[in-house]
Amino acid sequence: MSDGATFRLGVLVNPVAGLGGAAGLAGSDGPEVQDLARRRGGRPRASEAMRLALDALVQHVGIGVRLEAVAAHAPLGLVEARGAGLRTEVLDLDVPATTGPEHTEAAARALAERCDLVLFAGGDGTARDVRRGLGPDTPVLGVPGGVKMHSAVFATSARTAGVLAASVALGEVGAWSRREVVDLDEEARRAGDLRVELFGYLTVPDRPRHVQDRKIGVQTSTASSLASARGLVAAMRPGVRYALGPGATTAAVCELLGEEPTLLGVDVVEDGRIVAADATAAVLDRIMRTGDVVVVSPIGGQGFLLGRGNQQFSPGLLARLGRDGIWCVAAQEKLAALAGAPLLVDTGVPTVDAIVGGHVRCVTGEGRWAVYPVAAG
Amino acid sequence: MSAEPIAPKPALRRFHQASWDEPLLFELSGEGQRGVLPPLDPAAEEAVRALPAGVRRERRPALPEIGQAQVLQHYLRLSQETLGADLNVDVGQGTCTMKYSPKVNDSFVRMPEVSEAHPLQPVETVQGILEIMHTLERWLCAISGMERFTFQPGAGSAAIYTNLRMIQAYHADRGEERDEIVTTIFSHPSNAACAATLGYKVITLYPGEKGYPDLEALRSVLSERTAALMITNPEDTGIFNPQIDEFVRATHRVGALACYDQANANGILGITRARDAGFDLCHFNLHKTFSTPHAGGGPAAGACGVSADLVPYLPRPTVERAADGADGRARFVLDDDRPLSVGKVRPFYGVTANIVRAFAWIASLGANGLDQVARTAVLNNNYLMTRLLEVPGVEAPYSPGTRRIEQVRYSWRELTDATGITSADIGERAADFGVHYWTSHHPYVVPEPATIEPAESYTKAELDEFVGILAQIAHEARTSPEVVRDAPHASTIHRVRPGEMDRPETWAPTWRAYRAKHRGEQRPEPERWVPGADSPPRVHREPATHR
Amino acid sequence: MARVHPYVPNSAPGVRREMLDAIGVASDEDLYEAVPARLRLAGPLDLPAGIDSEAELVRHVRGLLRRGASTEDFVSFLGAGAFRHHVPSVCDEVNGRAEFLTAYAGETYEEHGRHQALFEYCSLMAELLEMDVVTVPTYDGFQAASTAVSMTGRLTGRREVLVVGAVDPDKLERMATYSAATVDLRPVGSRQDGTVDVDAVLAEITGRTAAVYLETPDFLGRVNAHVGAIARAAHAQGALLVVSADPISLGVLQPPAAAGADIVCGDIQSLGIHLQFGGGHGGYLAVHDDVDLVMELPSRLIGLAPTVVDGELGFIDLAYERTSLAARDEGVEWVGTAAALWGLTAGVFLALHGPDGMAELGGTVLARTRYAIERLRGVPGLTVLAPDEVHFRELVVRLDSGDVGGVLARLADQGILGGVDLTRRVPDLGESFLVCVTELTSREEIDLLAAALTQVLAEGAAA
Repeated sequence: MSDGATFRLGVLVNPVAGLGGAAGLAGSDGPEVQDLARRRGGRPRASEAMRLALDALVQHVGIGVRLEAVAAHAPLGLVEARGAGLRTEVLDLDVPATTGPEHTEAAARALAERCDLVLFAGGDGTARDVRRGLGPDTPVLGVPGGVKMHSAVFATSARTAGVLAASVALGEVGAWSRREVVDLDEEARRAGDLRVELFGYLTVPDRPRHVQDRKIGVQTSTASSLASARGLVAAMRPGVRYALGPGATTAAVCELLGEEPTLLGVDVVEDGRIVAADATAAVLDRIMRTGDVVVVSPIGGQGFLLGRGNQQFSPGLLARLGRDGIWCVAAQEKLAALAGAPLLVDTGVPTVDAIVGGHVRCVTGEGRWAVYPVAAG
Repeated sequence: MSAEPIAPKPALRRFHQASWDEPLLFELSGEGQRGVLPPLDPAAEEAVRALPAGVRRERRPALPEIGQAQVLQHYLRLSQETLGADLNVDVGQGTCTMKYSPKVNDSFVRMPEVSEAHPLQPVETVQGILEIMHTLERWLCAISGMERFTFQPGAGSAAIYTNLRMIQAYHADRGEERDEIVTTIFSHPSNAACAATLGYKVITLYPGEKGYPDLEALRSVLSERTAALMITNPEDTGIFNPQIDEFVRATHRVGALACYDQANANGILGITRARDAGFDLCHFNLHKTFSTPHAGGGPAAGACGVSADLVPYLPRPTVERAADGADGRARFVLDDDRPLSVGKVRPFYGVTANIVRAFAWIASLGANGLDQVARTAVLNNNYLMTRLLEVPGVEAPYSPGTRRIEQVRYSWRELTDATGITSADIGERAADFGVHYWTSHHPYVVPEPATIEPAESYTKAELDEFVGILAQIAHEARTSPEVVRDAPHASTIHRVRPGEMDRPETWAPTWRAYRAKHRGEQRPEPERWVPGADSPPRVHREPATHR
Repeated sequence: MARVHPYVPNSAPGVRREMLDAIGVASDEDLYEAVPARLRLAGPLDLPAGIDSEAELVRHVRGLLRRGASTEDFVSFLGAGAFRHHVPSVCDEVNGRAEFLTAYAGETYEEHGRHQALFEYCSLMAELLEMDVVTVPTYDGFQAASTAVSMTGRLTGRREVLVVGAVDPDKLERMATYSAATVDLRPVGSRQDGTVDVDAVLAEITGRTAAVYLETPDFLGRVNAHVGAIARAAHAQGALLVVSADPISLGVLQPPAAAGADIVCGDIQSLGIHLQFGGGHGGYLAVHDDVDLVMELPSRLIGLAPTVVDGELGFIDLAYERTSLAARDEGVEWVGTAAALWGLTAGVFLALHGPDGMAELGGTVLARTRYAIERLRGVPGLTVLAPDEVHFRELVVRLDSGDVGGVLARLADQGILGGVDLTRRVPDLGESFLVCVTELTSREEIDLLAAALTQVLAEGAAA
């Protein structure tokens, strides 16, 4: 993709991301909301965030590596890339003055083919658009610049995104992992409901913590994800059905069993085989018996465990299986990365939330569990 | 122009660490140079010749040949390039309890009665050492409330291992199969790792919002499969778990044992005791609380305390008081006749020099002195926290407003998000001022951590100096971040270039490995065995630097 | 009012008050508010008053210690895992430096010297052992051997470890309990006098064997002359060979790796560390630079690294993620503060001696051992076991008519510590004791032992 000495960085900005926040709207989706936001004085944050990230990137990379940016025409990234003093190749794409999700997606697709790393600024909505364009394996990193940033693909701040991107350019990052792209149903949120949905995965460099340790290679997310998946497999009992909720770790469980997971759906496993793929709530209600187990894993940056977005796990099912029938599988690293914040549960039925209780037992490896606090979302 | 001929010093010292650009020993070699001549028996050469082929060494070892004064010079230069706790305001090595190691105690361990005593001398000839061991044991029992102690373990992790062996033996003796250990994420990694080594399953409790685990969380995992709870209190955050005795009771209710990692005991000496919270076992690090020097990573010493039920399982031999001698003096013996003992966890009886040092330290301070030690350590810790929280960008997660006991785990997250400068960067810049700090155990639960533990040896002025340094660096992070990012500038060496020699293909754990991989040196030795097709497949642990 | 103790500067009332005010509390009791009253000690600790004056402390502690004696006060032939070798004065000078003695866990910047010294120790050992990877020291030889055999179980997936040659029974027990979750230890091929029946050993190595473990010199001082044959037999079955060797012998004895050992371990106490009543041990582990083996080592490894300035040496942790410090219960065994200063000391020792010094030292020990065997063989009433085997530093003497305890006691009355009683430790040897000679044991002292034994045994026979 690039010669050894030059690092090609894709720069992608969502020009409307962040609009809704200051205007008091829970997000910035859709032209009507955006209009309302602008009239209320909302300003796009993504552009500013990308500038901060690129400045930090340039400072950190120093003269170690030759950097070249690739970007689509303004307002999708060219101005920010040039503004950081980067030599920038311009994508041959039509970009109207007012862009929509399809333009973000097209730009992402074009960047994927040309870049060592794609840096995008925006929020969960942008991450979804980027995901559709990029595919799950292109190295990418989110610069937080939207209103909702629940996806686990963002750095903790614009500057740390730049620092992490610099580490990637300098060859200091040896580990990457698949992280969830999630989004909140905004209408439901505005009506007082918390619904988080999983939209897929992006491949991002391991968290900044990995690099700033300066001890090369503290246990990587991939290694500890695999360890937790193995731990779950080791804990599975014969004749018991395990409904694996969506998530990267549960997908790894299927792969360990030699099965192909349904990435965004629920697969039911019994005695090492998938017995129901992409099961709906109706199917689960029928085939899951007392003594069977629902397996969830924290998704998103803030660790959603069970939300109303897990439509397949109906409150009735969870109530029937009870506390012992709800297991969690999570990489130790992922739990630590929550920085003490609780895992979140919000099934919409407080009595069902109470079944999980104030803490949950997570398999983190073979014969290894963590007990982690849970709060109502 | 100032009126004084000698101007006052600036607020922050203009430190520069010694930097000798000293080559490796191997590069100082000169043919025929001798550093020390051993006694040479007239029959030495012949004795070597008489060895059968295959037993006699074939190839001269490629050790360097260096004169005595030159060896000394080399190591003294390296010592100058090492910032020991005696030299700097070493409050940054949180959880290590860096404190003054009294030099008078070093003089005791250099006496031949200690340094030249053989462990298998007739017991009548080592009464002094045995009395010291016996007395120190009594004193640690008083401090902890436990029944007996052993000083065999070499340091803290070895003590944790020893406690787990006793736990294992206790349950085995009762015919109970218990294969789970419960511990916490903030406790030293060895609590989990020693348990795993002994074949236990490990359940790790994460803290709630107060900074310690929820009692209900513990109750939910305790069962008839639980062998023990391994817990630290206060944890590395410095927050004291006020329900610790309830934790112990819950553990006992399922027939499990409660084991107390007292690495952070310094702040609670004379305040609260392990046994009063109901613990069955505990351990102290003599090189932390009890002042023995850290020696660059050991030798140290661990002390395991047990309640009466566990006494039979103590490592053997124990030191016992026998009937007084004919001269009326106390007599001590070594008791090896302990059929339920877990055996020896190391050769002989323990790290004698550190046992003597710890004894002398307590002897010097006494009950009142230990009380002063604890209260002053906690005073220093809270004073330091008050001042550090004034530095913009510093937070102390959990239980805001509570007083901390022995140390605090701070977070630079706010500063990092604003500037991109990390806790590790700040720590490296601190070397330019003659200090350093330690971040945290892994995995980091507190983001961008710094764990600071002043203990009781440093003065208020020294604590203020440390705060001034961190405040200065925090300021630099915002105004001239490249100074911090490229630090250190005034240390012995400059920033290490990461990623070049850290992979299996490139790493150099010895000079020999370096010459082979990077200088193409050929080896005269025979080819070493590599497993063939018939060998069982090796179980793989992948290095993280695999790209 | 009690005086301010020199170890606790901020206990002085004035500065205490200043600090309490800065915090905003009335007294330090407020700082302990988190400790519930029910857990608070009611009164002071049951300890004596402190001896706060340094002079009186010195008098007290020296007085206690002077109740004892040391090997300086006897002619000592005591060994069995703690050895009286010469400690060069430069070793004590270097490890007594406050910078090294009080450093701990700093980085390659502010504790650069410590890193370099430890790297040099590992490198010097590597040359002696002819292996590229040597760990920072672990606690002692017991730990090193325990880890070594555990490694072979993890690497091969097999459980059986064959133990060859005489091993300190306490050490073997420690190794067995430590590694029980991974391997089972089984002693094989020992004759009654403790020597090794190599053919019996070779016959035991099968496809179930994870490793063969042997020591050379072993607990009874015997040097194994068949390491190569055992290595070949083990490798033929896909098993590993673990050898424990005292590095002080390797100036003259073949390093185990040259004979085919895959993991070499042992104790470094002989290299410049005083006896200290058995409290001065450090362990080492060495392997070839094979990533599978390296990744199974629990201890830290120091690697060279370049800095941003050409020619400057930096040091980094290698494969840190494998350790328990990085991965807790998912790491390899466990690691903690162990014996770094002894590693540094051993490095100084090896640097001072150089290749010629190590050869002369080893040769002298061999010569004195041979001399001791020859002189003691001539004493009526005792037998030196296996006198034709190669011995390094130690040998076993068996009394024809028993009462080892009594004989050793009568020797002690004459100021001679004749050896370590083996009757309870290694009962198969009968009424025996272990005699140790080093380069510090003169020929005259060996003559003295022979003469004293002759006399004591004759008196015993006459009685």
